[in-house]
Amino acid sequence: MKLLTKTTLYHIILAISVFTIGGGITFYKVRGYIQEDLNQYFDALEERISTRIEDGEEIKSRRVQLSKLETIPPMAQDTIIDTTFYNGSWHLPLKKKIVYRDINGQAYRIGMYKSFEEGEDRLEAVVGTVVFLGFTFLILFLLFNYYISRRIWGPFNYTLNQIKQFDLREQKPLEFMKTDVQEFKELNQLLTVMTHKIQQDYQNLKEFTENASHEFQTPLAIIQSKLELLLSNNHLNDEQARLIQSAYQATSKLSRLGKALALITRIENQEFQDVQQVDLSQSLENTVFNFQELVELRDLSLDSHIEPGVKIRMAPLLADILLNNLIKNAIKHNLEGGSIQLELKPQYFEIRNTGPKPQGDPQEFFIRFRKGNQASDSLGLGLAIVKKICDVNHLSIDYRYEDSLHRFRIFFPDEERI
Amino acid sequence: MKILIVEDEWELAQSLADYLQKEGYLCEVVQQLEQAHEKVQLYAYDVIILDITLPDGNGLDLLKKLKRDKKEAGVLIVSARDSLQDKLEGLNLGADDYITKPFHLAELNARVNSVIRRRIYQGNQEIVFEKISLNTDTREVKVNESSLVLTRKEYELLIYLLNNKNRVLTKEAIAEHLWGEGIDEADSFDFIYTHIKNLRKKIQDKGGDNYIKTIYGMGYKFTSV
Repeated sequence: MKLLTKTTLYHIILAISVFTIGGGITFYKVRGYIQEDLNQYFDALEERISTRIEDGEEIKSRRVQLSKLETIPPMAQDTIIDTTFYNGSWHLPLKKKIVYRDINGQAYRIGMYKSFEEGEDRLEAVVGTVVFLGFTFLILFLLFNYYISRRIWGPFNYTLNQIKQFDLREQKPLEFMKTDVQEFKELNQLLTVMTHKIQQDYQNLKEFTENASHEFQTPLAIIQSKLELLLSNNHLNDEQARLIQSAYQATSKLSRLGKALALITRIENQEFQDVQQVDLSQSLENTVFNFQELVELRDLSLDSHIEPGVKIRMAPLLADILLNNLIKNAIKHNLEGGSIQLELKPQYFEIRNTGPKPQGDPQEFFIRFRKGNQASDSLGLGLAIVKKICDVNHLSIDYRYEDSLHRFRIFFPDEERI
Repeated sequence: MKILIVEDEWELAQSLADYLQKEGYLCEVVQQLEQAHEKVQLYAYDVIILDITLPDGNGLDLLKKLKRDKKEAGVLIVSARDSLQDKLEGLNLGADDYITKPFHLAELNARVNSVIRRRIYQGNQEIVFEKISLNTDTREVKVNESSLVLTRKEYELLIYLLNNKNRVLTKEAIAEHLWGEGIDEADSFDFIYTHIKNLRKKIQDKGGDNYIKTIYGMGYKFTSV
């Protein structure tokens, strides 16, 4: 629920209660006065009638009904009742007071009438005024509230929007609307300081990763070249050769590691900006062709169903790396004499391969350095790169192990399909 | 053949020079861009191995100058940045090849040879080694004058071995040459073994000798018997 809705709701509840109670009190007060007025009128009238009966005058008034009684009935009480006088279509609300009086030894029943139209009108006027005031107040209040909140909350909403659009990769500072509200000022100041710090940290981290992966390469190249020169020496004994060989292998691995990590960093930094329509069908055909030899050497069977003309928007190099890594993975984690099945459709790309049952949580395969077999010589970065490429291109990837088959499926977003 | 090595890292430059000199090339090393500019002004080189990140500037400037002056030298860019942009820019400016640090010396040698082949022999070079002859244009390989039918990878392997003969070629270097960095080494060693075995057999079937020596645990060496 929006803040405005919530406060407005409370305000409305408060206003309605105030008006209901206030209205009620006013209503009963006004009715009380009218009642008192009526009583005074009837008392005065009764007084006059009694005097005139005592004086033996005849009572001739449409407002009085006089009847003689033998005795005053027991339990007789003065009563005031509502009645209506009808005359054709016209009618008049009346109040009727009946009293029993003993005047000069004669019992009388005196009925007195008074038009109540005025009193009713007064009450109606009061209720009408209260209701009108209530509604006017509510409407004005809502309009005012809406206007005020738009004005007051404007800078806050602007700030919110800015944060939503904040992208760490763009080195742009956040910009806020000027405001004289203390709380918003503080919020904006805090956000400015915080985002600045985050951006700086991110930048430092990025630079460090980039520099590290670049700066490592030259010393590594020196080590590698020296070892290679050593290996060419014809006077090595077996033990020396073996030592150099293992140092050489470790350097080699380190160098591949550096390159793979640098690649991940560059994907993360979105350095692959040459996004274009990639004919995935064509790329896949090429990749399959390149791996044909490895497939044969490992005695695997490869089955591919590639629908022609499947296109997707992404950097061509990343598309190639994606397909390469997935197929390489399928070849690597396969069984002797196993199989690989590829399927490319406009909606998805799927690769299935036979292989030993996965150990551990399959979702962790996408995490760096998480390997199905920790002892293996691979870097454990292939699928992490695949995941990164999927992430930056908004593709979703799904892994399952079903019917003794490893299955990777990449879904292509609808709007990117041609 | 004269090669100019422009590389600020002295040790690395020395390794390159050492390796290439044994291949019979004349090598000169400069560590700064300014010296490189002077050198190319004064002398003619067949190949220039150019590091693009130099202390006093970008190596690509030298490349631009070479192209502006219409120098004949082939240029092989060496970079610590494995960046596609750098690579495309270098190649667009007229570089012949691009190699990323760290690299195998054998790989660099193969690339230098390939630059020379393209530049000097217009891609049509006859490589002869004992009973083997290889034509880089027609990709025809003959042993004792009879044609050898090789697969694409076997051909690539043979030319790589011929370019680096009499040297120990590690399995890592061979794997990277044949499959790029797209392959995990542990797997590829079996494939190399298979290819070497097939190549050996094909050469020997046509009456060639067993030129490919296995250096146990390390790799292979292509050498005369």
